[in-house]
Order: sequence, then structure tokens, then C-alpha cells
Amino acid sequence: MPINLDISEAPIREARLGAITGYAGTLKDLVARTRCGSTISNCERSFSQTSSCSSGCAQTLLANIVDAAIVNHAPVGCAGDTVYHNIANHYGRFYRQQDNRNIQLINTNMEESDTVFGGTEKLRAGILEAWRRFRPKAIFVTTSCASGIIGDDIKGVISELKDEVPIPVIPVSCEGFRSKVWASGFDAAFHAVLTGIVKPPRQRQPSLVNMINFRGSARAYITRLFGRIGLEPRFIIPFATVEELETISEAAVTATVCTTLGSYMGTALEEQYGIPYVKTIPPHGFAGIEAWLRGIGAAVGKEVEVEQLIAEERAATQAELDEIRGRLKGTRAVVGMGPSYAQSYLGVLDELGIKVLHAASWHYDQHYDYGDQPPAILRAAAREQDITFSVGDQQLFEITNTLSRLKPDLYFSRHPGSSVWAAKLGITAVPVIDEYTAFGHRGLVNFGWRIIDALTNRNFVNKLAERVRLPYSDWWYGQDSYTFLEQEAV
Amino acid sequence: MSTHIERPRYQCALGGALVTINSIERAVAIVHSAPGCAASADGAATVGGGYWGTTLTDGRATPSTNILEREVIFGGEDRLAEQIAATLEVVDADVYAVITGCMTDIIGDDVRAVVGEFRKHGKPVIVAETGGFKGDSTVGADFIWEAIITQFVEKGLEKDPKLVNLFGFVPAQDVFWRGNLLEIKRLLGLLGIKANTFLTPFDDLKDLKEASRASLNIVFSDVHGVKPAEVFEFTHGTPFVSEPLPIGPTATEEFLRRIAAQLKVDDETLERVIADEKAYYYRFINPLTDLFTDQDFQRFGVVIGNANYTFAVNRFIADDLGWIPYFTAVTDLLNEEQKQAVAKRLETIPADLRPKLIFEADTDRITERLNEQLAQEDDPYGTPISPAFVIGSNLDRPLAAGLKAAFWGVSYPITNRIVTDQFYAGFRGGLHLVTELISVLVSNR
Repeated sequence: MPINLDISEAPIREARLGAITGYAGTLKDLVARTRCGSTISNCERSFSQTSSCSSGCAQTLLANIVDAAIVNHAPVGCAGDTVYHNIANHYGRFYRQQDNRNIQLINTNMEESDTVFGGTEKLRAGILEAWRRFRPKAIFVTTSCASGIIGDDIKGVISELKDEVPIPVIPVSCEGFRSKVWASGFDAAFHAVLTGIVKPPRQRQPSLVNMINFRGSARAYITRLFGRIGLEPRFIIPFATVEELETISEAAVTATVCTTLGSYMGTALEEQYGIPYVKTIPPHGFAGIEAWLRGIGAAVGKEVEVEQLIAEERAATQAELDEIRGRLKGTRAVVGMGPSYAQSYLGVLDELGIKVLHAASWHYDQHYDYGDQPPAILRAAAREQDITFSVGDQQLFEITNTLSRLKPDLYFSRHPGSSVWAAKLGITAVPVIDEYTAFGHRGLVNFGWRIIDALTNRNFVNKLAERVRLPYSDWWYGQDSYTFLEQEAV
Repeated sequence: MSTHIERPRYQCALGGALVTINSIERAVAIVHSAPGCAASADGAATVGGGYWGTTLTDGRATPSTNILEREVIFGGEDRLAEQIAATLEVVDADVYAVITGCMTDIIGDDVRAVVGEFRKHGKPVIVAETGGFKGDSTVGADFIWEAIITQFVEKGLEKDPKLVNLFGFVPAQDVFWRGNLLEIKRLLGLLGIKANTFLTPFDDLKDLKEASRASLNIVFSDVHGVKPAEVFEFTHGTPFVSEPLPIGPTATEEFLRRIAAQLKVDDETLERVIADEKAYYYRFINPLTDLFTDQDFQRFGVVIGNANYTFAVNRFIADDLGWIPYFTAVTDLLNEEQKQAVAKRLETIPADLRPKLIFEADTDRITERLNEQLAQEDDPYGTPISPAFVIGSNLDRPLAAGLKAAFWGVSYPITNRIVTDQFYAGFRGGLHLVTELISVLVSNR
């Protein structure tokens, strides 16, 4: 079903993409049963651990648009996590040689009386103050469980302020209780940008590539890489300006480093403005970058240039990769990441010669917004050997149980708060926090050396594990990892 | 009506309760709320608290019912009961604290009835309603302490005349709570007083269970932890005193004298301890004088932080460091009565060294208020408080830059250094603070 930009909020992933957060089985089983329109239903848990909030995911993208502001219509605690959005902002600005400045966010401080009498007055005051204080080019109004349950009329407040606040003021529907899939918050942010900021194209910019990402650490590398084939990346949406976002409709192609992140925005730009969205596997490792660059090349008619680029990059790195593979041969690992990375890194770790014993995915989109199954999982499932595969919204008790049973050499994780538990078990953890880890040929080689370094000295985790206890009962370690996952209805 | 706040310096009530439980050995929280609440609150506290990190069953491993829209409509009590039963099996702990979020409190789940069923069967489960909209971290910490005091601490135990409990610390809101508690415990120990700290990694849950043995509760705040101390007195008959957090030799000496008088410590011990500790401070400060005076390191102080720290830091820089406190902003969300208590405490600083006090939670408005204050100064050079030193949180760096002032962060959030066992309490804590402040002034050399 096409993306609808005429409605005020993006439907959650459970409804839109058949996203699930509960499954235990194998990779091939999951792929087979979600192929060609067939879907599986989600399994709930009778014991669960905290996961993440859609509002945090929406705000992590929106708070770093350099000349926009956020009004978070919520109790104070919902803006507590702006501490780490501000960290990303501080070092992001530092690396871009910008001055030290805090993110521009106001929280409406909803209190008990507001949950009874409504919080629209505070919201109005908050929007006016954000306009007065920051003079932003746009204001995003993010919602919360409290504002959502009491049903504050956010659109009404915004429309009443139309004359006083002469910039786009855009509601972002990211209440934490709407979805267990925190990536629904990304879509809420993209929906707001698409409906409130992006303008119809005035002219095509044939060399412009929309590059959907998080922190953009590989800006210089990608700019050089694209420059060699006459293209120019625009990194969105953190650290972009409102003006840059207005004109993403003029780009020649949209690509993403994370297919979980990119699905909504990429598909919407394609459907709305005819900008091709690169639907290949993500650009991690040799196979990833090559498929991805070919996808970009095909979209802009630069197939020949891309082949030349791939050949050069491969030639520059192949020998080193062979050496790394030799060193890592026989290493055993468990993976726990968001879906795009969990799927993509099965390929990456293959290329490095690392054997994956089990993969856990923080959720699973049965299909993307353009209708297809995620390409990286298809590729992984096409391999000869199957592996056990689980889906859980970062349910660490399951991961810990699995890790203690399998005792891998390495745990590869993505998303904060997961690798720590492997480390406390004495397992060397390699967190993939930077989205450009293993990006491209050179990134894969760098990643390989980083893993070798991690394995070269394991003293920290070995000694730590002797000294710390994990929270679980002995009973739990004796159970199947999925004891609390409900059985699928047959 | 309360107002909006730019980038709040705390978590919600749920967050304050959560980090308090997370700091107590062998206690685990069961959060009854939406999926992200615990992760967001814990993440904010553990990152903003100088990268405190996970201890036992916290962080992303916090048990949580992760309720959604369905439970908003049909209620979440069954899901909570299921989660408690499972947590008792999966997690190895000695006390389980059910705490709630906005959703649960708005829809009105009867969480006390659900928990009551488990308590009836002898399960060590306690409960506090901590919906985020009820207040900030300090409010939530008060809620969970009241629950602990009334539902967990044993009643009817014999008092120990030399045992005290230390209260008033909210983990991460005082980024240095562990170090501060341990240092105060050490100092009181020198006087022959045993102090229960509860919130350090070296505490035993048994001490909390038997906390009613204490003869005195010392609340290191005029506002935070006061209500639980009143509940404690009512429930267990232990009186309490509010003491400001003592930083540096002058404040700490006074603190020790008051406690010694209250608990009848003999004079000889008291005088010896004060003399020894003061000597420790001054034997390091003495040689630092070369730098301090040669470089003219006296500064105007701008102190921004919570109620406990603003007074303590102002007092230290005024009493011991010889600086001039100029302006101070208390960033907690306080009611009128609490504001009066904080203002009254500040009045114990002599008028000529007493800073202008404002209550302001909003970072940019602090800057505006300071600039208003500066504009009123009659100064031909336009720099009435030069050179200045801003002692605040990591959010106050732009304010310091605007003043061309030095900056050091001692209040939440602290994200530009890690905090482990550092402390500011006591004689030695004062020495640490001097060391850090002066280090900032020479850091570009």
C-alpha cells in the first residue's frame, strides 16, 4: 500500500509492515513463512524487559536538524533522554567544527493537573517560547503517552498559532504506547519532515544523492567516493538544515545506510516525487557496497563509472581482507542488532570468515514500504547453512541465556545497552554503534582489524566476569531461551 | 501554573524511583509502563550521571510490562500479575519494587491490589505509584523511599544509639552520591557512629531491612528525602535532622560538631578527628598557595544546580576558597515551602558573600536572568564579574562561554567526564573540588 502523506501520522510498523517483535526459529523458516504475501503473527512474552520509546527515536533524528526546534509535549521525564541526544549534538558539532551549543528543545512539563484539565495551554506557551527563543526555521511538536491518552488537540493548537508563528509547526505522533517497534518513531519523524518541510521540486539536481543516515561519521569518505563518479551526497536528516530538507525532492536518487531507517522516507520520495530509492542490501562489506553502488549507478545511469570504482576499491583492499580472513578463521559469534544490521552483518561476518551461531533481531519487518521482503535477509537465507534466529525487542534475558549456552568468542551488537551484558559474561563484545562500521571495502577491512584487536587482549572481560554476577536466577539459565515467548497459533 | 522547561535536568518520578532501586543491592524494579519508559529514564540517569552504567538488573535489562494501547483500553492488571510472577522466577533478587508510569496511573490500574496478592503469599514485593507526570526524579525517589520504609523495613526493632541512616541523596541527580555517602560514612565512623548508606555498591540489603534500629536519620537536604524521613519517624519512631551537604573544612567541622552533640560523642574523639581531617586538607592546600596567590585565582562564582549542591558549593567557595559567590540558580522543581527552605539555608551565608538566588529550571532563562542581573551593575568596563567561574552542569557550558568564564560541571548532567568514586563531601571532598577548579584554570598551559 502506498505511503499516504495526506494523513497526519504514519501508521505504526506493526500495521504497515507486519512488523513483529516475538519469534523464535530459524532464518530460513522465517524467510519462507513471510514470503510472497504470507505473514506470520507476533508472539507475545509473559516476561519482558524494557525496550525503547518511539519518541526517543523520533527526537534523535529531529533534535539535530541544525535550525529546527522541538516542543516535546510531555511530562519532564520524556525529555530526560535529551541528555544523550545532546551528546550526539555536541560531538557532531565538534567534528563539523561548529561551536558548542545545546539542542533546541522545550518540554511542556505536563503535570497531574494537565492530565485532568488538558495540556493545550502549556503546549501553546511552549510553541510560542520556542519561536521566541530559538527563531527556528521549523518546530516539531512531539507527543507522549500522557498527551496521547488524554487526547490533547495538538493540531488545533498549531492551527490557532498560524499567524503568530510564521514557520512550519509540525506534529510528530510518537507516543511510546502505540508501538513496540521503536523504529515507528523514525517513521513518525520522516512523516513530519515529508508533510511539513519537503517542498515540490523546482528543478532536478542530477548529481544529488539523498543519503539517509544517523550521525554521518563517514561523510568525508562518501563524499570522496561519490565525487569519483560525479555525485554529491546530502546527509539527512541529523545535521541537515531545514533548507536542505526542503529540497530533497530534487535529488537524483535516495540511498540509505540502514534499510530499517530508510524504508519510509525512501519509498515516499520515490512514490511522491519519482526519485528512485536504492533497494539493495545495505552497503556493509564487499557484497553490500558493490550491490548498493550498482543500485545507485543504475538509478543515475552511471553503471560504467560504478564498475570502475568497485574494481579500484576491491583491488585496494582484497589482499588485506584475505589476511584478515586467515586470522579470524574459526571464530564463533552471536549477533544481536536491529533488523537491517542483523541481516546485513550476517553477510559481513561471512566475508570476514566468522561463523555466526545465532542471530537476534530487535524486530522484523515482514516487508518494507515498497512491498518486498528485506533484501539482506533473503540473501542470508539463500546460504546453504541455516542458523537459529530470534526476534525480540532487545529482550536481554533471552540473549543472555543464549550467550551463556553457546559461549561464542564474540558478541556483535547494535543499539546501546546490549553489549554490556555479554562483556559481564566474559564474552568479547564488539558493538556496532557507528552506522558506517564495515561500510564499503575499506570499512570492512577496518572492522576486521578492530575485531582482531578485540580478540588480541580479552583481559578486561575475562577478569570482569570473575568479579560480577548477572541478575538471573540459576533456574533461568537452565531453561529454554524462549520459555516466556507464547507459542505460535497453528 | 508551572511552565515549560528547556531540556530538563532530571527524569520523571518513575525515573527517580527506578534509579533509587537500581542503586540498592539485590533490589530490582518491575516497571509497569510503556516499553521505552525504563530504558529512557535509566539511560538518561546513567549517561548524564557521569556514565554511571548498569549495576545488577537495570539498564535495558529492567523488567517491564511494556504495555500498549490495548492495556490503555482494557487495563493492565493481568499483565502486571503475570510479569511479577515471572520476574520472581527469572531474576535473582531479595526485594522486587513495582513502579508505574504515566499510562498506568492515568488508566488507574489497581497496582496495590495486584501486589497485595503476592505479599499475601509472603513474596518480597513492594509498590509505589510513580507516574511520570507526578514530578521529577526527586519526587519519585521520595515515593519509593516511602514505599520501602512502610512496606519493607522491619518494625519494632530495638534502637542502636550509635547507628544513623543517611538520606536525601537521589542517585545520578547527585552525580557523586556514592563517593559522598562513603566519605560521610567514613567520617562518622571516626566518631564511633555507624552510618547506613543503602545506595553505594558496598551496602547490604540487611541494613535496609533493619534500618529502623537507627537512632537518628540524617537527611542531607532541606527538600529531598524530607517527606520519607517524616514517614520514617511516624512509622519507626526515629527522629531526623536536615543537614546541608558538607563540603570543605568549615562546613564539615560544623556538621560533625552538631552530630556529635546529638549522639553524645566524647569531646576528645571529636576534637582529634576534626584536627586530623583539617590537617589533611591544609597540608595539601598550603603548598598550593603559591599558585593560587601568584596567579590571582580568586573568582566570582556562578553556581547552577540542584538545591543540595547550590548551597553546599556556594558555601565552600565563600567560606574556604575565598571566592565571591555572585549568582546562583536552583534548577529543581520545588513548591513554595521548599523554595523557602532553600532560601533560608542560603541566608546562613553572610550578606556580603551571599549570591543572588533564583529558582529556574530552564537553561536559557537562567542566562537571561543572569544577564538582567549583570545589566543592573554599575561597572564602567561592562565586566562586573570578571573573572568569573561557572560551576554548574554540562548544559551550562554555553552560559560560561558567553561570560568568558571558566567552567566546571558538578551537577547533573555531567557527560564530559566519568564519575566513579570521586566525592565532594567532607574535608577531603573540599580538597578535591579545589583541585578540580584550579586545574581548569591551568588546563590550557
